[in-house]
Amino acid sequence: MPNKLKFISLFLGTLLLFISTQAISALPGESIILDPNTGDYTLTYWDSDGPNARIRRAVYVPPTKIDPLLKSTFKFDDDSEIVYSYRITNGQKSRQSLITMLFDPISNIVSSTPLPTRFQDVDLATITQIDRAAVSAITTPEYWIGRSTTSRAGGLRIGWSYRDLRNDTDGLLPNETQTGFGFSSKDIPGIGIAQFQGNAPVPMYSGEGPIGELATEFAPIEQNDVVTRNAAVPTIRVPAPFDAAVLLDRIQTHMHTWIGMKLLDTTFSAQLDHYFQTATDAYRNQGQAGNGQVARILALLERQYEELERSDEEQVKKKSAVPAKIDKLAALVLYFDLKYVMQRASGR
Amino acid sequence: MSAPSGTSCILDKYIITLQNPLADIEPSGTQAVNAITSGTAYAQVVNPKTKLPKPGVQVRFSVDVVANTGGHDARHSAMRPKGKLLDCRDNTTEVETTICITQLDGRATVTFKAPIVSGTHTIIATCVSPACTSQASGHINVKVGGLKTIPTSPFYRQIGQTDFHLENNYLIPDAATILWRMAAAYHFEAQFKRNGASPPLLPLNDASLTWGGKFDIHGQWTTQGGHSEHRRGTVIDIRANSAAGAISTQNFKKFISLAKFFGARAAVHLSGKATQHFHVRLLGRGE
Repeated sequence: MPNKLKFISLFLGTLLLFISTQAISALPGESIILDPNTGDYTLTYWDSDGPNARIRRAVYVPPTKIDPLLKSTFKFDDDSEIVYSYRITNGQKSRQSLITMLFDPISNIVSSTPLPTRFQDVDLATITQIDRAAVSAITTPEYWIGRSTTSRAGGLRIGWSYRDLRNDTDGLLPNETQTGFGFSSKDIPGIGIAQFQGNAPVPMYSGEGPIGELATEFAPIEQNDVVTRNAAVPTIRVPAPFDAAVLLDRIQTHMHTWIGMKLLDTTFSAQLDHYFQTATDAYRNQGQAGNGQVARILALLERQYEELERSDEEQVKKKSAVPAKIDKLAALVLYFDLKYVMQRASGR
Repeated sequence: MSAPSGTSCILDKYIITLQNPLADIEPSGTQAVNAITSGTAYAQVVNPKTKLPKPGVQVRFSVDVVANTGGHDARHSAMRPKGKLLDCRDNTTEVETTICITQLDGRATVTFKAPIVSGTHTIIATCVSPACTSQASGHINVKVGGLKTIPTSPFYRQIGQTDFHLENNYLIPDAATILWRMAAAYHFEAQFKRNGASPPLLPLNDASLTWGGKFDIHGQWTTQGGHSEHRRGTVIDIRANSAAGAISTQNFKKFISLAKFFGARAAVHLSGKATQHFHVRLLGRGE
């Protein structure tokens, strides 16, 4: 490294260290210092143990030193349910093994027992059997544990954790890939968030850990303990009895959330909205005639990507060198959902 | 008899009343940003015959705390902290008594600020006027609402000591539901089993007191001594030391991962000590 670059790097490191020390300081002697090289935090805090109060130190290692790659697949099975499956690769830049993936929220999955999607519907007398049925309904690869519970956001929280977690390297190592995660759902896909965690040391405090102002300062660091990726997950409930206009409306409402996620260009969204509106009106007034308008939306998507009908992220290709107006996974999901509406509207 | 304005040379006798009960407020000192930790109370002075309000009367407000309330028993040492009143002269300074003046509607209003410890407080309003010497009082409960005893379960057992407190096992219902489902998963999941047998029931220690607020483990009322987050029924300790039935070291990472799935957050506190335990924020946040 040239000397000048070395100096700049050292200067920036020192500056960051200085800022960390200065910005976060609650009581005299307390601090949270980020090591820019390791990404670890050293906490120095007053332990609250009465007359024995004294300064303690702990190191917090965020479980976020991973670079996960997620592939979502969704297709119909013979029972007209949608099979969702996922493949995870722990990227080669990862500095931790990957040990957790979870989705929260997803709308629902197929289980032998209906699953509560609201906290107020959970009955402790029956919930254990329901949770066990849900776990059986989840596809889980060997060496992993599948789990299901009620999301506090409404819907379900589904996830997998690596089973044997005794050593620091347990889990999916960098560059390794794991397939075989999945479930079935009657709900059609939308874009959700997958949360991942790496294998980090157990957070241990010789006292109670930071309290007061320092705890308040530390909270956002502690809360930010996942790496996220977009995923295709069950999101949109299909109305029963089927109503194409209502379903189309739900798809459009969900699609609008993609603008905030930077998955959809606003002008392209407005263009799509025009056809959504005419399609919804046509379904309401002329039944199956709405399919013609939906086909126009499909054509707009096909101008962005090739091979959308294959429902496979790896086979879909962007059409031109110009940046796409919609994210690839989002286009794939929308294409699938709209095809579903057309098929059901046609009575298939 | 004179008019309510009290201009005759024969003094009218007025009566004072106070709202009772006053609305519950939360103890201070939690990390819950939306918690309401202060409230107002008003005393009203009226002519009992005409029912007309009497303005300009001095009313002295004072506050006391009722013993053995809020989940704390009589064996605590030292003086129990009580809430404060805001001085009516500046509405800022915290005092134990203050004198306020009734307005045109006959009301004198005072602000009460909750202490960190839950319990029932009594606000006493006394007329300081020759025409009105009566007294009125009202109760205000400093408490975290909605806490319930942790339901009994086949997946955990409660082991907490209650030396200075009536009960130590109160949570809000959502937190209790998470605890139940997490404990069931701990019981059934293969990763926690040894030779095919489920692990011992999760040994639960302190959660929150009956009304929440500062859980002063050593019965000294102070902020010291730990349990800084056991105040709003969302946090519980689970034994993780060498005692029989505690979560074993080899399961620490698995347990943290399990907690994370259920939206909770677990960390080891008092590491290396005889009382080592998992401090579990059941809703993922400290309160």
